[in-house]
Amino acid sequence: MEKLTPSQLERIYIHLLAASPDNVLQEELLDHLACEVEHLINAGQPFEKAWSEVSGEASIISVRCLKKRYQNELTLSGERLQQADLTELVFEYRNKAYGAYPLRQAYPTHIVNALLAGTGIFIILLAGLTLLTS
Amino acid sequence: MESSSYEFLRGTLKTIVLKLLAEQGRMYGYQITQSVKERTGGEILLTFGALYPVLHKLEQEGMLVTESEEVEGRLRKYYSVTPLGSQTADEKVSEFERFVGLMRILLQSPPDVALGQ
Repeated sequence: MEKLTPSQLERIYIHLLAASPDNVLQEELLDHLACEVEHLINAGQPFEKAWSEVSGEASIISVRCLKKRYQNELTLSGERLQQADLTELVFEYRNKAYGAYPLRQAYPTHIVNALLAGTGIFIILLAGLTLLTS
Repeated sequence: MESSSYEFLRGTLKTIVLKLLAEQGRMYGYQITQSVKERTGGEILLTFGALYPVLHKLEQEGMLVTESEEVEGRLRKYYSVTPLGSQTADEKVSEFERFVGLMRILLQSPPDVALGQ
């Protein structure tokens, strides 16, 4: 079984990024297209030929078309929409695994923790200072 | 397969995917397209554009669960059915078989009797 090299994988990834930079399906599509290319390579084609065939089918237009269909299919509705917060709405069709989503989700907790810690340290310092001066 | 058949496929895609996953256990996207292709002798080709929205929709509805694994330096997402999903697969398949039966009756040339007499 022939496997793609990291630089060949990167070419597929760049193609997908060009089609839609924040696609929620990015990782899955990368694996899917890589599997298709490997399939053709195992059937005896060189990488360049295999990739040009696969990228012809997975053109920038068809990837964008997929994104649109995905959005139609998975739009938040009904109860889920009622319960969704701003972060949920902003990241509805975006790549949640990238990192910004968990950061935003944890933001309220971070604020409360920081406020409590800040107040605590301030009170301790103030108490220490009062003890020293008295 | 004729491109017009895609119209028929669209309504049955959920059934196909659920049934396949209920039978085979864990599969990833490309594997599903290959399995459908092999079973139908290359007649039905699922495109990634049709498949992934359905998979994610089924996951959202609680019919499928996913697990990601790193394979050969890339992330591979495996899907498998939940109990709800496998129950739905059975229901959908029997519903669809009933529908196919009815369609067959409809499409047969009518028996040689005068109607309404």
